Amino acid sequence: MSINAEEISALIKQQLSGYKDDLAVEETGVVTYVGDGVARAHGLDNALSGELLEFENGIYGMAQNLESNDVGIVVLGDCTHIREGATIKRTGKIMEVPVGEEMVGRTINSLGQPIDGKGDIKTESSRPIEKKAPGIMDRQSVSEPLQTGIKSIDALVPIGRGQRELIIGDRKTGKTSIAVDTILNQKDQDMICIYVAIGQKDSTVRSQVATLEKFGAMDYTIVLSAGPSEPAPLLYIAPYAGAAIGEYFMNQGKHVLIVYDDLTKQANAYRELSLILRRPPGREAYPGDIFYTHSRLLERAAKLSDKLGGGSMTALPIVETQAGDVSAYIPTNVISITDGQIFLNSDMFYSGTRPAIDAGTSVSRVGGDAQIKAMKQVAGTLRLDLASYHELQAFAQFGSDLDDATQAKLNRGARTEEVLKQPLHAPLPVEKQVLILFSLTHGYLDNIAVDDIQRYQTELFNFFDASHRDLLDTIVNTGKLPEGDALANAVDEFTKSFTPSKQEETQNN
Amino acid sequence: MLDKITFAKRYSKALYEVLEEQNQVEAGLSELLSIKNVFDDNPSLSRVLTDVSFPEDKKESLIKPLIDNSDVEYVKNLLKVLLGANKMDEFTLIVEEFERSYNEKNKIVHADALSVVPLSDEQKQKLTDVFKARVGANEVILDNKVDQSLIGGVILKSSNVIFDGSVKTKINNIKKLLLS
Repeated sequence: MSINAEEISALIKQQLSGYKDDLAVEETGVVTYVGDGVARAHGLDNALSGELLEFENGIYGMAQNLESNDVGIVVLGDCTHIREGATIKRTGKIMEVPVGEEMVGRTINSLGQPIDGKGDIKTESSRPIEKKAPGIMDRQSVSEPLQTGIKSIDALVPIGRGQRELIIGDRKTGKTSIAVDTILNQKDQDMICIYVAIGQKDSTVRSQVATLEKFGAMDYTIVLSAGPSEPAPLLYIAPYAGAAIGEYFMNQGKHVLIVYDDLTKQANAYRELSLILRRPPGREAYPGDIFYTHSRLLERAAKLSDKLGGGSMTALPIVETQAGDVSAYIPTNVISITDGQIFLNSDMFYSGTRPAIDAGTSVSRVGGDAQIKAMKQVAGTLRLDLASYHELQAFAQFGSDLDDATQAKLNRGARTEEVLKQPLHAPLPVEKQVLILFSLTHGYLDNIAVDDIQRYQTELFNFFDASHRDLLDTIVNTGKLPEGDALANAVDEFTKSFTPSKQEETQNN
Repeated sequence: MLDKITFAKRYSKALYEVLEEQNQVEAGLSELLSIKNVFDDNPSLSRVLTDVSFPEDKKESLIKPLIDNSDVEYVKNLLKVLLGANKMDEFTLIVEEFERSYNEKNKIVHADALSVVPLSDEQKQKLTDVFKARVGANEVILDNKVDQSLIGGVILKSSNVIFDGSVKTKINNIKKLLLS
């Protein structure tokens, strides 16, 4: 290949066209303290709060505390090369993160730089990571459903597009799995998913990305990871950076799902840097503005008005509790900010009810409006049924002489629990959820052994796929149950043909 | 505990106010600057004066010539107070703060001019005039320093602000532009 000198000089000329021969005026300060990811500097008299500052060696920092004599700065990067006495420059810019379509399918860090080894991300634009949330007139109420593909969520705590639903539970109760399964179910739903991993082990994030790739979900997903070995400021800004990327898509009228996994670790990172910046500690040593830290983040999730394109950003923040204590500081804060919570119970998880969603304490405050009509029809009484089942279950332990009505309730409850169980990474489309819940609430499962229910469900779906696809399509297209008895007849037909594994058990149970 | 800067600011403010009442600001400033020179020339002096293991009477005899040489009563008193409070190491900071408030009041600006070759008097005068107009000062005290690494042009440094017109920076900017 020959090198054309003219082409090269044209290229250089083009690149240099942006150069201005101006006198560079820089406001500087002198570093007086460095340590633990935080620096202090004298000077910088006109620095703005949150402004990006540049150290001598090209590392950036963010002005946090503006005090009478100095400025408290969080260092966004390796602070071991910053010395006392080094100069620091103002940049006049607020912290920004690159945004664009090119980011989809990539794994990035809090600064928007790729960490997946797939080369540079060439984006056209960037957005400030801290931006005021859309106001009252910019929003409309949540009306479209976000199908998670998880029966117990879509039936009991439905989530709408633009909602903020908290996933809360002890360690190892399947919080992340719910979020990942929800992302998996957004395939072909015209949804951009952003998974923000804050302080998650790099090995965990790696396997999470592998799962997403395996199910083809990386085609519409961005993974933003701030690992535990990163300095605390990067963990602190990670969710804001994720929200900025999400807003870019939302403002284009697209639908975005963003998962913050998890905000407990972000709060810990913010506590760390606040204490080092010598802000006064409050309850549980968190700084005074820890509530605002989370509220301004989650407020950015919105369903935009039609005038602004009608895009949405649904947020699924995750919070970890210690021994089921939801009355700790961070859990109560985030519960009060969000539009509902999915509570995962570790006892249920270990007894085999997975996903371990506690129907009693989980709520969705706005998602009901977003549920499709067919689902409302079949799942309306499910929550009450479950609640009374759990109540009766405790009493039924004492004796076996129960009247028929109680026995029937117990039977139905046991089957409801069984139906709501779902294996990992196997999201169900909404029409099939409606179908199995229809069979349950109309009593078709009452004579099926509890052990047979999973098999019944699989065969029922196969049967409908083969012979009654039209009924399923009706649910998808109209959002309502098919008129008349068509659905009931079809389920009846299948139930009659279903062969139980053990004949005698069906009669006893 | 107060940090050093806050401490120095308070003492310099008090001293400035009291000297202003007595119309002795200029005299005080020159006294302070000459004493500061002594401290700057002997870096161990302030350390010795705040060392608790060093006997008090020896500290007094060390500082005595400085006090006796001073004509301004308030400067003498400042030295005595600082010695008594074991805060002699703050003295240079206090003087710097004092000078800063004096400069602020009289709109005097100190500036360091870095250049590759020493500036001629004419160039200095031109630079001073331009800079005076730019920052709105009554007087600009220019300190010319030579820095070979600039390649060309001048850098003006004045209290936290850098006016960078050096060839080195311009080349670096072009480098950044080409690499991005």
